[in-house]
Amino acid sequence: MTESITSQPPLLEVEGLTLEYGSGRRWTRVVEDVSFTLNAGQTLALVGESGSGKTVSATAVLGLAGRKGGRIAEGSIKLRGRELVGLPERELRRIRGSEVAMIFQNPLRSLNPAFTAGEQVAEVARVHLDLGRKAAWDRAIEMLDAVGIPDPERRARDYPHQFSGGMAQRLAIAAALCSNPSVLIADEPTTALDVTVQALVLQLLRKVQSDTDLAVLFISHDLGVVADVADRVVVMYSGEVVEQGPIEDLFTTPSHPYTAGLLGSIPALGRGEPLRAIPGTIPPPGTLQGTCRFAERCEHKVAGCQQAHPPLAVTADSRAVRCLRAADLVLEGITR
Amino acid sequence: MSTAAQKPAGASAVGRGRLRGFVRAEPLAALSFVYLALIVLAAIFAPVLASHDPNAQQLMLRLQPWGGDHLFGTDDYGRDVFSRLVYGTRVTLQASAVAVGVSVLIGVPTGLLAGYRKGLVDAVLSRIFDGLMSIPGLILALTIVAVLGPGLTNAMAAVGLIFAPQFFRVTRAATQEVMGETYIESSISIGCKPTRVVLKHVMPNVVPAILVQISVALGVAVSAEASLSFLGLGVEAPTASWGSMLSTSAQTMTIAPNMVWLPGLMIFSVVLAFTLLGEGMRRALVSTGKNNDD
Repeated sequence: MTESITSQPPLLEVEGLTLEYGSGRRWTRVVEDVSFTLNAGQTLALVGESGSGKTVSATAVLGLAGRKGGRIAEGSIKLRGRELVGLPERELRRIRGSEVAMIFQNPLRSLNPAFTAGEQVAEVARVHLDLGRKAAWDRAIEMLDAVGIPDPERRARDYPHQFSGGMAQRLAIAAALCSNPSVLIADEPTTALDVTVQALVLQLLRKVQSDTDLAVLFISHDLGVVADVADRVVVMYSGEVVEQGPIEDLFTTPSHPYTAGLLGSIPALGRGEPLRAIPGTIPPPGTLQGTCRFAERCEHKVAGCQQAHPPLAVTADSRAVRCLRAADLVLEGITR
Repeated sequence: MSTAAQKPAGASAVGRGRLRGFVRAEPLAALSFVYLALIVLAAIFAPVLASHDPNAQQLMLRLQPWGGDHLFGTDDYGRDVFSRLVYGTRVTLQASAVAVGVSVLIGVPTGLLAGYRKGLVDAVLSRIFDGLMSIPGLILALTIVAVLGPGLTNAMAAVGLIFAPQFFRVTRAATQEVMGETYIESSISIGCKPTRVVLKHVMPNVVPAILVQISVALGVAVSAEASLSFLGLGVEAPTASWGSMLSTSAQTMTIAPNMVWLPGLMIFSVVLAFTLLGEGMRRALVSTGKNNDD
């Protein structure tokens, strides 16, 4: 599945990740057997509806599964070949922010209202780069400038509430990139922004990526945005991967009905057709066993679909799909 | 939420604008603050303000009326009432500060810990403070004074212990709320140690709620001091405090009623001012919270 030609281990390799949430004796499987790899300079998109397990999978990479009552039941997460699962908290802290950074959906909420813009960014520099107060502040202003915040010297002394959504997300990106991480987890970074601002933030991410060879794990439910940024796509449904592959292939010839459904629900200008929604809702995690989890909402289901849980089968080169009928279904994609 | 919404405003200008906004929105609270500031100044400069030695007795000039050499007359030992009120301010404020200081020291760190750690730590601490709340304050103060010996400081420390659960609860609730915020997740995801998360990222956002509680608690502490001194558990004679003055003047109420209501008025007004200030700050906090939500 790896696209790298060299024998080097991939930058980030997630294998068979299974997450359980709950407490005491009752644990619910929220994410099951998720695998993907991410190389430097690449963008991998985790796509799915709310509740498909994309955010929890990504935060597990930071070792934060335990914070909200979850645990990694199985699987491995390797960063440059180094196993992260089971690492002590002290070691994980060293990785967080310095090697793997994260930006969040609502930038204004992800900034501490009690600190100025400069202080937010300088905080990362102080934690990881071991800089003094003055040096960290200088570094912060440098970063604000790098992400395109005008008049950084003055804006560094402003508080988050004085920033617009787009500027605040730039600020969050500045803080995330302050210590030169190799992986950036972007959790729906543009969902809360105006469309015009969205494009600017995506542009910034792309520019940063080409400048620094940053690997981006991009979480989104918006395939329109994903088409803009991603190299590879992993489509998740009800806690498992249903399809993955390079973006072009996946968009033009989707193999899973769910992927096709998501593509069909992208609003397109001038197509003149009504939007197609996927009927029904995502089943709660851990409720469906021994059946295709999408079967209830699938318009292509046959009798066999609800009798066995289909495995994730590798179809073509670097593509995989979890569907019984993948071979005989011809689904409508999108041509760009 | 658009890039055009940036306002060219410096931090200091915003600070001044906020203060003006607070005065306009909460005039009573602002007035209370000014009044309390004057009271504190009076306590600090008591030796300058007082016209007589507060403890000097002039048995020939007992229970003098207002005016003349003694602005507010004299009490039943011939001591200058105005000077005693001024010095009493000192004692009362100090006593209240002791009580609130003790409760902040006990309640705030434990509240932060309980709110941050949750689980067993939270459950155990919460039950301890629930237990503490079930003890009648006056009885505990009596016991502590009986054990440690009389004195206003001991009694007020006991009052502080009684107030501690309120600070614990306020801090715990505010911490829990802040812990759910994305910026705390963000601070963890940049690799901050738990102590740094709590002290640097959680604490500044909890302080406003604690300030409100401090203001309200100071008001209650002033009346607690008055009650304890009235019962003779507070200051020892001849030191003046508002409570002890109320207590002694109550004995001569039928001859000199004006002496009862002076310390009474002080207690009433200061408690009211602290409460109004606390309430005003609380409302201002809630409304800024709303503004941040948009």
